[in-house]
Amino acid sequence: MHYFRLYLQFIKIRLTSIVSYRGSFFAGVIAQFLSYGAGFFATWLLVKAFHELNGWTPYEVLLLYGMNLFSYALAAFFFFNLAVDIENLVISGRLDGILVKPVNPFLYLICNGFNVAYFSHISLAVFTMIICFRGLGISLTPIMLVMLALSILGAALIHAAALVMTSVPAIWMLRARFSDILYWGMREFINYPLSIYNRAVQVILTFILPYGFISFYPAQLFLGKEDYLFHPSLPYATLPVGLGLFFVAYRFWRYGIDRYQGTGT
Amino acid sequence: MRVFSGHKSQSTTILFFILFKLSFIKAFQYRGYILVTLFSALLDVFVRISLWTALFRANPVVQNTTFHDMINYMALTGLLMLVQMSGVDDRLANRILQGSIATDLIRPYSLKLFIFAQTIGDNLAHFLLFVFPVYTGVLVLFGMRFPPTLLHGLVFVATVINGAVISFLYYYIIGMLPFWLESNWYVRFVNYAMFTLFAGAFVPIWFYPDFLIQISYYLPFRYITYEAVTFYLGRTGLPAMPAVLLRQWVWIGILLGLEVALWKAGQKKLTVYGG
Amino acid sequence: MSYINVENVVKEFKVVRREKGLINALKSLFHREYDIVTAVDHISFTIDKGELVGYIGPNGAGKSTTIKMLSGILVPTAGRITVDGVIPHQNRKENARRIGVVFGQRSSLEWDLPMEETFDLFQKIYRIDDRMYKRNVEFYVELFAMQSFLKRPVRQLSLGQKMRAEIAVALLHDPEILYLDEPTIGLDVVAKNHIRQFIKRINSEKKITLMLTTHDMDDIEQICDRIIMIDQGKLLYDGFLQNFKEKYGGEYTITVDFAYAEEGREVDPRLQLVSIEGQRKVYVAHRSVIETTEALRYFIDNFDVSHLNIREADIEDVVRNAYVKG
Repeated sequence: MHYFRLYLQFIKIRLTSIVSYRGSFFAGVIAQFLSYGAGFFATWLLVKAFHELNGWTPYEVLLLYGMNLFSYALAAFFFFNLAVDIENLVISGRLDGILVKPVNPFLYLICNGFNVAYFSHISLAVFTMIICFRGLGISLTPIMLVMLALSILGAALIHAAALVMTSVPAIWMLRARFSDILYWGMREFINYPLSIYNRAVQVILTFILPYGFISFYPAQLFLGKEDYLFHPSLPYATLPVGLGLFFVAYRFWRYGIDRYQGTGT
Repeated sequence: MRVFSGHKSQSTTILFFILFKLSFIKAFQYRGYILVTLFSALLDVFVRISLWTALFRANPVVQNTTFHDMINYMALTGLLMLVQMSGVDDRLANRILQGSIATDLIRPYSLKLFIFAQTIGDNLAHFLLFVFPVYTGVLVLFGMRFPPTLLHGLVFVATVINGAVISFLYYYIIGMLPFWLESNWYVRFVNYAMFTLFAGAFVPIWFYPDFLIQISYYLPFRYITYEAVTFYLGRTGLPAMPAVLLRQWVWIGILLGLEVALWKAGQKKLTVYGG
Repeated sequence: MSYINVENVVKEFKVVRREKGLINALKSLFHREYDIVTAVDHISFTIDKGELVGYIGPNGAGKSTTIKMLSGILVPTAGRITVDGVIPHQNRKENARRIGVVFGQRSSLEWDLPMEETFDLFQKIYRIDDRMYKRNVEFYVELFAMQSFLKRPVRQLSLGQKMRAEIAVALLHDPEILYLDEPTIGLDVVAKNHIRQFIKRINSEKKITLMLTTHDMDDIEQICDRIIMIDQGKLLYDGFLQNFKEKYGGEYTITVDFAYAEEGREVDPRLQLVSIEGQRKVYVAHRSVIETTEALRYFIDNFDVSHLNIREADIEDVVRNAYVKG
């Protein structure tokens, strides 16, 4: 309840700030829309030119993009500030300012990170997914809709876990940019069906860095795909995988803060 | 202030090399940064090779293009990052946004040359550390193509040089926008969209529907590296050479004119309103 | 047991050694070396409730590191800290509720919005009940004379106004202790004076225990009852301001531009010649030996002087002095 009030207060503050930078804000929303839109469109055109990608039609591939962006935007909406901005917080000393307050720094940073800009990502992602389902002539039953919502929640947790975990070195002022490899680099993979990669990559993306659960496995479920990898139950596993990963990520982040304070060394 | 026409004293040349060396050294500063960037470059290439492999699995030739064509297209476009002057825009924009542009105007060197030297320095470091090893690796692995004739090769070189000039002018103009905008963080998103759709940065334009190709002729993006690569691969015949070169020169002219006009207007805004 | 106890506290940091040049940069790709930096080196002191303590030392002496340990941000490498019986880093949140912290070099205000918004935010963060909140906002707006700029976006405020706002925000939840890290840094003389008056009033009217770090000698002379001086992490002095001044203060430098080369003429031995640069000579003296007025009169009466300049000792001089005197 305490953090909910705090969150509302930050929402008020952020919305008021936007008013003073209206121009940039709207330009930014349009620019990001264009950028993701162009990427989606280019991929769709490419697969269309080849008719299919390993048995996946253009709309089916685009659905992977849509699910990926939707879950990413959800995760970024809550965790981007906490994860990506942490380096700035440490360098500028604002993290110290948070640690002298009687708050849980993790929850405080989530509240503080409220960012309306992700509504543009989310609306583009929803728009894309609707186009895909319509283009494919699939109408989702209520049960399937619930499954979709749960899958996207799980996928968002996987994204969030990755964002949070990769930010920990930055708390220690290690500019290793692990986030670049583990996160921004790996995200490329899941815009295409996992089945196009060789076995080693499939194993990595399923069991080690389980990004496959963000879009590929759950999409199989909704598209009725049967190019199963490993086990036919994996399309149902996104939510548990997300919950587990996020728990680990949170513990690791707390450990990061403890070490920043000097208990870990 | 004019670079390419101004007199080049010895001290300017020295300054150029100092800046060049500095950005080079900076790139080596962080071990983690180098390893991580190299690894992500490898991942990126791996994903794209997997993608093209899967796409060509059903049909070995699509729109007159083979897998081998695509690998060479990808590697060549990647290697030509060296002449892509992205970074120029941010360097100029930051000076304008932070107000240091006013002091740049009274310094005894050309701002344009200064920014050019910094950008080339960064580009070359990036190129040697990441781009060159990764893409030559790809070419060695999958087989490197050479231009069909020597003349194709020469035209390739000429179009690459023109493309570098177009790229520099384009980013310089983009970098001037903060004279009139309060921030510019979103400009790179627009650039990404433009280069994806009209420059063949990721998917060659020839796979696109006709209306997009038509639009691309009226924008500068395809003249930066795309035309050069198609000459190299022999997709564009030599008869098209004069037209392509002419179009590049026309774009250089347009951008140069625009640059001069905007720079004047920007300076006026700076002196009249104090930035 | 005192209110704040610091016993034999040490804080070490591990820092990557970075050398210049391309070759070294390349080498560091494969191998890197670390230095252990001791920011705080076996420091002990106690502070009682209601005291106003100046924690002083030159830049990089370890002042901020100490404040960070006292406020629970950093954990000491060795030693023990208790604040009102609580170990700050182990009970960070509990400790945080009874302290206010202001870091002079960084802001906790919302940049684009008026002060009022930050007040509201802090009410939510510290769960301040409405009555107390209203009372404190009124009290501090009045005390710090903030009425005139309460509704302006923070980014438009002057440095002095911002500092007043920072301090007010840190006091909204009625903390028992206020840590101020360089509260006057970067401010002009007038603004510094304002801040000093406010700090004294908070201490006397609200009975808040106050610890401020500074390297400004005027801050020390004008507000602190008690001085703790550190340098390179080590404690150099802990005691009353009066003793401090007697022991380390009182030194001043006189720069004299003689109209003629005064070769061979003896100058009063109480004035110690430290440098000669043409017709400009620099002397160091101590108030306990010769008062500034007497020294000035001495030069004017006995010599043909074209210019005189007198400078009081700054913190660096005092620290140097402390080493000499031990």
